[in-house]
Amino acid sequence: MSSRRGPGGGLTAEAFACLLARLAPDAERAGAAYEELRRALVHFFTWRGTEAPDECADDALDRLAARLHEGVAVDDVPRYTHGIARLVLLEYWRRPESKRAAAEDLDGRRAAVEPPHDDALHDCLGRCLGELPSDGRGLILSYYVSEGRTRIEGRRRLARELGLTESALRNRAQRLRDRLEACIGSCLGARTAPLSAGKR
Amino acid sequence: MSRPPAPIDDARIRRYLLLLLPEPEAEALEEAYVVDPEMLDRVRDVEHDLLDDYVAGRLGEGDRAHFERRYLTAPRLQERVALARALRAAAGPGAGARAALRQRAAWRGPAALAAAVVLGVVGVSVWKWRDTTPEALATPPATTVAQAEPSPPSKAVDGAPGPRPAAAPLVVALSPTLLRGAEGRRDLSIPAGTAAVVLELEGDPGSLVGASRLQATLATVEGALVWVGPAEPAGRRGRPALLASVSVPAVTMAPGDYLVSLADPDAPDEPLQRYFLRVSGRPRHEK
Repeated sequence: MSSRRGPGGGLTAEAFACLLARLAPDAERAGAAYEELRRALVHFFTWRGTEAPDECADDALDRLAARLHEGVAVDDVPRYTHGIARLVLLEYWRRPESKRAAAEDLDGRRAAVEPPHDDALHDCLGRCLGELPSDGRGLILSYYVSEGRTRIEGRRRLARELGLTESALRNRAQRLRDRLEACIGSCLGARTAPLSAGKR
Repeated sequence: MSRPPAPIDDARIRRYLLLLLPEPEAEALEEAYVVDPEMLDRVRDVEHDLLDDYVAGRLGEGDRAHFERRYLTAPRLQERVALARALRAAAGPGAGARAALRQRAAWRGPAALAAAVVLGVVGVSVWKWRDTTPEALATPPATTVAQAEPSPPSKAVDGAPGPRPAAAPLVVALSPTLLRGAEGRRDLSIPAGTAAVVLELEGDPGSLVGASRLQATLATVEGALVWVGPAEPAGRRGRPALLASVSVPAVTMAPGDYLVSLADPDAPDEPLQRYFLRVSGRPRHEK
């Protein structure tokens, strides 16, 4: 389970336990549900263009846990979480640095992020694939090998070979790709941190 | 919240990802994927296809502009583009991967990466010393080995000598399957005195449809071509997954990671199958 690292740092263990208890009756399922919810929030903030989606997601979850701990009546936790996430997003956009970035975006003046250097990317991909379980490495390369019209049939065949439903295969491939993305992000970040530190 | 449920199809999800969906619809979609993990998976699936379409150059002008405006300006999204590009290059024998490889030096970069990566996954599914008694040679797999033994005209690159008459070939079955090889993966150690390594190349027989002749290529994962020679198509006796056998001079196989490709000689740049092989022992021969 992800560590709790909300920007306010005010989340108590009791509030966090309260959140988990609302997500599922047993610890294991609650942990899984928590990770699922966090994953959705990270994507939400990513697709909304925030530059720190993980922090925003943790912020939203911290607030959710705090509300539940305060005794706020919440019928549908995920739906309520979405509401909190939108609030966090609005606050994010109100920050001066976010406004500036958004304005530059609209004016088309914001330079494209420099793509990672090929060598660094390939090094990181190799390293991060190496961190996946061996069957995961094979799966993700197989899953994305086909394209165009053969894509659907290729994935169908792969699912048959693995004895999975197409939905389960897609699910596994996506989680592997998520892991790869996270790993490559940190790997590239670690490589470029000294360079980019001066730019910010 | 009483919003009429709008049908959520892939096109709508694409528009969301490109920031083209009206805000109320975007909000509804977001709520749907925060509440329902399956919907999130679906959005991710559409995003992966969008990313793959972009790096493959399949997006139309308008979508491409929107995509770049969205995905090339945010670090996290840019990483997704980079990963899509790298996966495309690494994913193997697809047309797109080959195109990506051609943009760089042949067999370098992504191919080497792909090989290095997949080495951890695939490769030697079975390997064994084959008995050279007549009885053993009479069995179907061994017959294939015996036929391959004289080593038909082949080309050793870098001046490597051809095979010496061998007492015992080392027979290795390679599977192109990325999914089953991990369990049986073992590094190949070539004992002293080995003249030839017979690679039994397995895979889906359907992949060879239309190929009247076969050729095998051995290259290091760094891109150096090591050996090229004809591959002998296998019969269907007992081992339907055996596609072809090829006898490679052991002396050409220094310790290292190799990429073996099976192709129609008329289309050598279009591999029908690829295999990965790690050699951990150095062959020794009499000078």
